[in-house]
Amino acid sequence: MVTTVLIGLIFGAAILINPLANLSYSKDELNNILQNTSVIEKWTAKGYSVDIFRQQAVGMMAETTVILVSPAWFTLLLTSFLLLPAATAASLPADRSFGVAELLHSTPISGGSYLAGKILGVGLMVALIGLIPLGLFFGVLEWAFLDAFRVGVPVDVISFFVKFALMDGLPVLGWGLTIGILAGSVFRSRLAAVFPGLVAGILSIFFWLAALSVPSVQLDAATYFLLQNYHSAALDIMDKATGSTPPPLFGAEAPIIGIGRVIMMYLVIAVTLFILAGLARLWLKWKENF
Amino acid sequence: MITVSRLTKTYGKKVRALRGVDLEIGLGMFGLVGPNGAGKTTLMRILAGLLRPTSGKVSVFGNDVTTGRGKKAVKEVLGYLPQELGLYPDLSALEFLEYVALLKGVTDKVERTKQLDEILELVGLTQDAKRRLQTYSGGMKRRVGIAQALLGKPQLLIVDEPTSGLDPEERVRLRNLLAEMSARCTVLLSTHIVEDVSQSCNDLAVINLGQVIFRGSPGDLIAQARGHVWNLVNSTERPDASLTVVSTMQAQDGVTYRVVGIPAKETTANPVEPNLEDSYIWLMQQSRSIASNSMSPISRVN
Repeated sequence: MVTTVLIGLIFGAAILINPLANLSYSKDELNNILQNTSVIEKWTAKGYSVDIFRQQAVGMMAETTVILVSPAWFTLLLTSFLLLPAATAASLPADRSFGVAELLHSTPISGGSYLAGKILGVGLMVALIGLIPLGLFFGVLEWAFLDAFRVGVPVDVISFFVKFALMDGLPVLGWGLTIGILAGSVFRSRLAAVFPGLVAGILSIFFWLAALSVPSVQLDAATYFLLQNYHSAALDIMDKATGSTPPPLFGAEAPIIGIGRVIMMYLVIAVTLFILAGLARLWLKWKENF
Repeated sequence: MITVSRLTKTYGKKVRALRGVDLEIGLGMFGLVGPNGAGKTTLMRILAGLLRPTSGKVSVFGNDVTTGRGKKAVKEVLGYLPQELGLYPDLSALEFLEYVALLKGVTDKVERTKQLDEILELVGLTQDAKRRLQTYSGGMKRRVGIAQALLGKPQLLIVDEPTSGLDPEERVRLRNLLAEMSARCTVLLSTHIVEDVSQSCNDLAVINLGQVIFRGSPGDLIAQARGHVWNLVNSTERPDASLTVVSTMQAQDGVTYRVVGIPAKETTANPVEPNLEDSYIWLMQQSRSIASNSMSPISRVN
C-alpha cells in the first residue's frame, strides 16, 4: 500500500507539474503588468484604483489556476484508476490467503455485510491517504499565491477545489476502490487478483469517459458542471468595473448542463456498482456458501 | 441436539466426500475420528454452515443449516476452529480477538472487554495479548484460535483437528480446555489422533471413506477389538503382512511387536487388552477389507 501511495504521488506530481509551471509563468506575466506604470496610468485614467487593479491581477491568477489545474486534476483522478483497483483488488483474496476467510464466514455476519465492510474499510483508508496529496496540492497553491502577491489563495478558488474533491474526487476514488475489491473477489491469492484489478481500472477509464463525460470536452459531468458554474470574485470586480459580461468558460457553443445531469452521473455510478456488488455477492454465496 | 440424516457431499462429479451419513449428537463432548481424507472436515464444515451439502438433512439445535435463516441461527451460537487456522500477522492477539468479537455481535464494549479478559486468561495468553501474531509459536496460534471460538459464549463448539502440530504439553492443555468447555456447551472434536478422543470423549463416531463406520462410546469400540490385539514376544521375524504393527520394542533376545489382527500362529502370540488406538486400527482394518468388497458400514452401536 505504501508503495502504491508513493507511485501515486509521483504520478500525480508529474501530471500537475505542467499546469503549475504555467501558473508560475502567469504569475510572472501579471507581476510585470502590475509593475508597468503605463498600464497602471491607463487604468487610473479610466477611474479604477490601483487596489482594484491589483485585486484584478490576483483574480486573473485565480482564474488561470482553476482553468489550468482542474483538467489536469481530473486527468490525475482518472489516472488513479491505473493504481487504485490494482491495490484494492487484494482485499478479499488476502483473507483467503491468510486463511482467515473460513473463520470469518463462521461468524453470523452475512456475505453482503462482509462485502460492504470491506468496501467501507478500504474506502476510509483510501480517503485518509487521499488527504495527503490534497494537502500537498493546497500547500503548493498557497505557496504560489503568497510568492506572487503576498496574499493567500482566494476563498472562491479553495471553495472550487473543495467542491471538486467532494463532487468528483470522492466518486472517482469510490468507484476505483470498489471496482478493485469486486474484481478481486473471485480470486484466492493476492497476487492473482492484481492483474484483474489493473484491467478493471483501465476499463474504468474508458467507462468514465464514454458514459459519464460531457461530449466534446472529455470532462465528466461533475467537473464540467463545477467549472461551468465557477464565478470568481475577480469576475465580479470586472463586471462591476467594466459593465461587461465575460464569455462562458467553455465558449458560447458549449452545452449547458444542470445539476440533474450530475445527479444522473452519480446514479449511473451507484447502479453499476450495485449490480457488480450483487454479482460478487452471488459469487460468494455460490462458491463459498456465504 | 444435532441430527444428520442421509448426508452426502460430492465435489465435482467424482469425489464423494460423504456417502449417506446418519448421526445424532447430544450434549457434552463428541469425538469424530477418522483417517485423513475420511470426510471429517467436510462434515464439520457442513455442520458449521460453511458448506452446502449435496443431499440430506442437517439440523443443529432445531435449525436446518441448508437454509439461509437456519445457517444464520447456527452461526449465532457457534464457535468454530477451522483445521487450517489463519491469522492476520500484523495484528496483536487482542486486536484480532476484538475484531472477531465484533463480528460475532459482541458490540457492548464492557461485555467485550470482560469476555476478552476471561478468555485470554483461560487460554493463558494474557501476558502476550499485545504481541503481534506473527511472533507467536504454533501452539500459541492454536490457543488464539480456541480463544476466538469461545468468544460470544457459543452453545456449539466445533474444533477441527485442534491438536495437530502441537507438542505434547500443548495438546494436553488444549484437550483439558475443551473438556472443561464441554460442561457449558456441545463440543465437536474432529481429529485423526485417537488419543485426543480417548482422553476426553465419552461419545464418538469413526468415519472412513465418507461413511460412519462406528458410533458409540470408547468402551464399545474397545470391546469390538477384544481378542484381536496381541503381543508377539521375542519374535525373530517380522509379523505377517495381514497384521498391523502398532508398536515395536527392541529387546536383547528379540523384538516384541504389538499387533492388531489375527495372527497365523496364535501359539506364539499373547492376547492383550486393547486400548482405543488398537481398537481404532482394528476397525480400520475391518473397514478396509469390507470396503474392498462393498461400501456398506460395518458396525453401528446405539
